[in-house]
Amino acid sequence: MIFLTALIFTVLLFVVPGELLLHWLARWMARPGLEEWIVLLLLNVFVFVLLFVSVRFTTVVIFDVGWERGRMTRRLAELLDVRGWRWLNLIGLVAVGTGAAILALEGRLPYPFWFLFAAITLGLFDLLGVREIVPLPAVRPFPRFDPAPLPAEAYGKRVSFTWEFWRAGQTDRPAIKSQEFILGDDEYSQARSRERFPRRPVQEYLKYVRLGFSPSIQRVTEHFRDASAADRLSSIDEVMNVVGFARGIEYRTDEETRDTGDYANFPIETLYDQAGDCEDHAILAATVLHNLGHDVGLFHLDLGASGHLALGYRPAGTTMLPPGPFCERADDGREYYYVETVPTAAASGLGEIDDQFLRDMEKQTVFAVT
Amino acid sequence: MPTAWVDGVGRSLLEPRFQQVVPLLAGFDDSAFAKAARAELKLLTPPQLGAVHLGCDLAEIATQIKLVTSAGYRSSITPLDLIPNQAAWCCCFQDLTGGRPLAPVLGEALQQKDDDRVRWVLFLKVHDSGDAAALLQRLETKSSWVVFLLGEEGELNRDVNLLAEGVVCLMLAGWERFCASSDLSFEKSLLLQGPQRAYVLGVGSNGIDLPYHRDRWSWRVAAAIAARWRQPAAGGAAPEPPDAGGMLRYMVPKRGYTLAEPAAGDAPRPGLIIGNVELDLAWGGGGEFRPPRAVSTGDGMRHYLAVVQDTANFLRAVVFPNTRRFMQLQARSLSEQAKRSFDRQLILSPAPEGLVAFLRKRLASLREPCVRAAHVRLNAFAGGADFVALLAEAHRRIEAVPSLVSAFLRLALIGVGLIWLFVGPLVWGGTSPLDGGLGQWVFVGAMILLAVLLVAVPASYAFRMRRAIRAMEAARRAMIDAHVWEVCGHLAEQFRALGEGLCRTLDQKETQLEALVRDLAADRWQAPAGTNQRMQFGDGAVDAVMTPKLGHLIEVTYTGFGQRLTGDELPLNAATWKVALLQEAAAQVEELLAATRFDQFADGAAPMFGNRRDLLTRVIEDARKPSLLMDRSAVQPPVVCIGPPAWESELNDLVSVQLHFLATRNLVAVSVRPLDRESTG
Repeated sequence: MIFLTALIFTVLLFVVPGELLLHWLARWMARPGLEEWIVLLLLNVFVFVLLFVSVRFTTVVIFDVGWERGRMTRRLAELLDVRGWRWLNLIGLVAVGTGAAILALEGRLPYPFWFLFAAITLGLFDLLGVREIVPLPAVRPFPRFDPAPLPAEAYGKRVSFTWEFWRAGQTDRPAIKSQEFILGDDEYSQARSRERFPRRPVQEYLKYVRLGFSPSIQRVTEHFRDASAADRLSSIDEVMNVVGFARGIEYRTDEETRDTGDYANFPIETLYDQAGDCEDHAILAATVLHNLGHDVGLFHLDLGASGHLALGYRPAGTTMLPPGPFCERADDGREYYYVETVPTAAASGLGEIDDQFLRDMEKQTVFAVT
Repeated sequence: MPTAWVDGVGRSLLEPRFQQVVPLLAGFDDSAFAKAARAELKLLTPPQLGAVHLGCDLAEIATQIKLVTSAGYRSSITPLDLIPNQAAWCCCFQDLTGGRPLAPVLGEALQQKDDDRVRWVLFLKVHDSGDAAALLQRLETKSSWVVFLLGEEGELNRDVNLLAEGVVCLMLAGWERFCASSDLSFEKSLLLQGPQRAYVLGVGSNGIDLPYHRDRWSWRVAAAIAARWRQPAAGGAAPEPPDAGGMLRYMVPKRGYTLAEPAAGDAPRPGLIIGNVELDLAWGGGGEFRPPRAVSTGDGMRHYLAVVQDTANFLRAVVFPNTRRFMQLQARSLSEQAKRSFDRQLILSPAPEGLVAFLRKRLASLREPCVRAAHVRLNAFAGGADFVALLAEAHRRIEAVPSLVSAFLRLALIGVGLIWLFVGPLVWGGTSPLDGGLGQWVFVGAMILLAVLLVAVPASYAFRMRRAIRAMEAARRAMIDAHVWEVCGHLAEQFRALGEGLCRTLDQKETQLEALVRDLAADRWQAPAGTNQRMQFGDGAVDAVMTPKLGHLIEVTYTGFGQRLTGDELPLNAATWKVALLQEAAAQVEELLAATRFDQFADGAAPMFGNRRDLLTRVIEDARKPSLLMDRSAVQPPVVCIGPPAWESELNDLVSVQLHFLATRNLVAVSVRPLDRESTG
């Protein structure tokens, strides 16, 4: 702030120059016992202090209170940062100070300029300041929904979930997470009354993802983004957290839950019932992750007599990655990793396909959520 | 056996010498005699006569009679035709020795009135005529019946095979003569004499003892082949060994990774050394860092570094486990493929000479890439720089990049100060700094300093920016190198295990091969002792014919041996090889013996017997000895001699001997003597 204040002071008084105005004022205000130079000194100090307070106030009001506070403050701090330029400050101090001293010794430095050199000296004197290192940002995609949070649902079913969260690459012990959500009864009723889409072609399941983002699902999605921000989770860890959440939901066949052969759930139905089969888990995970901004799809394994649906995930933040060994190209031309979303399968890592599925698989297809 | 014989020697004999025929039914009981006769009939029936030579069980003879007397039968034997108004021959073969009764079907036929559509020809094996007494009593009223009796213990001891050979030859010769002759005399065709309906047969046969010579020669051929296997000359060149580099490439995921030999002058990269070849593993990720457009902020660089960090996490947590799993699956698949390839490579040499050396050479050729695989090692790259340290260093460098805006603002502040050193006294005090004294040097120095600073500030910024970019690039490269090095380590581990496993497989095969060689060498390859049952054709007679064909026998036996061993894998087991070789040799020898004409053996035997006529007269003499004990009249019974046409000239002055051509292996003669019941024992 001192530097900015000194800069503005110098510009206002010695570039514009306002010092002439102050000098005129000092001459006018001078009285016996209060000499002109003293008045001018007081006026200069007053202007400097006024500028300093103004700069500080402006920073607080505009940046610290505003919605972009963190980013703007940091941006301004970076713009005025002395780091790397201390040698410049030092040279400036020495050069300006020496010049002023020589002129003063020769009696050729009028006293109004004492304030100029004093301001410059003050401005350049941040030689010892230490700025903290800015941590690397967490690379997470921007959410695809309006980030303004919804009001909490007052009425609805309170549903508690507990799941294991394996950070990417973690092999020892998972963190146990739990969370309670309030799921709207009306949303559930509306979803239950909706007509189901046909089972074939498989990409029909994408409609459950596209149409399944309801206010309750948005609250669930927001919870995961907030948790990622709080725990500084990377993009991959956020995916693992959501996948762990989906895998924590009980696996039950459609015969058990709906008394019918094949019945795909909208995400709210899976959460409300706290159960579902493979496509229900995959649709839920895909809906949450898609709206968190991740590139996901539905990964279909053709097992001959049967089929299996899981999540397809493309690590968008890690743009340097070429396709891995078990990736599959989706209809959008991009490569997606297989991610298992049901608790019954042994495979749990990103890209890991269960051995049994690998043996039985006749074909694999990915349908990107767009 | 007879395929070659029928195809080669007897083709001309089998061409039908007639277009019109009578059906020939043959019914057999379950005795050894009938079975031998059935086999002989099958042997001597050419395919084109299959529709008229109908063999069946004796119990089914009535059904067959219905068939051949039905209206549709004539059209079913096209292009042959039926001789009009002629009865079918119904030949029955039965063993009545040991008190066996006449077959019910024959008993029923005897009870019925003679049917002019059928002639009954019975070949009955008996101990003496008493075994068929009831039948013989009824024959006088049965003009369409004729009975031939024969036994094993007559003036000569004859086995059932010889008897069966004789009776079938008599039946077929008679049937052919009947169909071919113009007078259509049933009696003449079967050498029947007068109204007599019962006869005793005498059978003579001259040929080699096939089982004895087959066994002797099969061992000889097998021994010759086994000796050639051990010859030092390797047959055929060893195939190109599998490329170990190719095997290694197979294990690396095709997507994202490439394995290639480094170019000269390349910087050290993660890689493997296999044999004397170095292969560097490259990963397709990356792309160099481009500095952000907004030079006044480190946000872009920090974001990039965060992406590098995330990518490193992703590589470690996702890409590497999947790559490792892929390589494990590929290693398993490659191991199975390599073992199948071993089995395909371990085949018999084209010729038997040097087979052992051939197999050793192939095993050595297969071993080479496996040994190289087992000794694969990481190159000298040694993991490269520490990614974590480089990431931290890059972060420090990014934070050290100064703000250019800040620099110019400071420069402006300094500039104002320096300029006012000159302008201030001039404007405010009315004195020029160039008037003299130190002031003028202050002014000049300030201007020079300002100019220097204007150049130094951008230069300093560019220097720090470049250091940061280089640090980020180093971190990115270290991330990739760390990942690729980790993949290399696992690849080497998997490949080494694969190579060691394959070496063990080859060790087993080598051990098996050496044991096989030892066992085969230790074997004496001598035929078990046997007795030649037909001494008129001794070893020399057969050897004279077979020795020139030994080379051919070795060739075809070796080929057939290879086919017998053909499977998914060549069994390196001495017992299996010996059994297969002997079986194949026996089959080939038997086929060759069977395809060799009687004349050729006779030529070989001639030095022993003086001339061919002696062989012929011996057969006829044997045939004239009845197969049942009985008083022989002075009249020589007629004899039909069945053999090669070339022997016709030898028969010129022999009384009551006729030659008929049939595709028999041996020279067969059959005498037909009326049964004098009073004289039989």
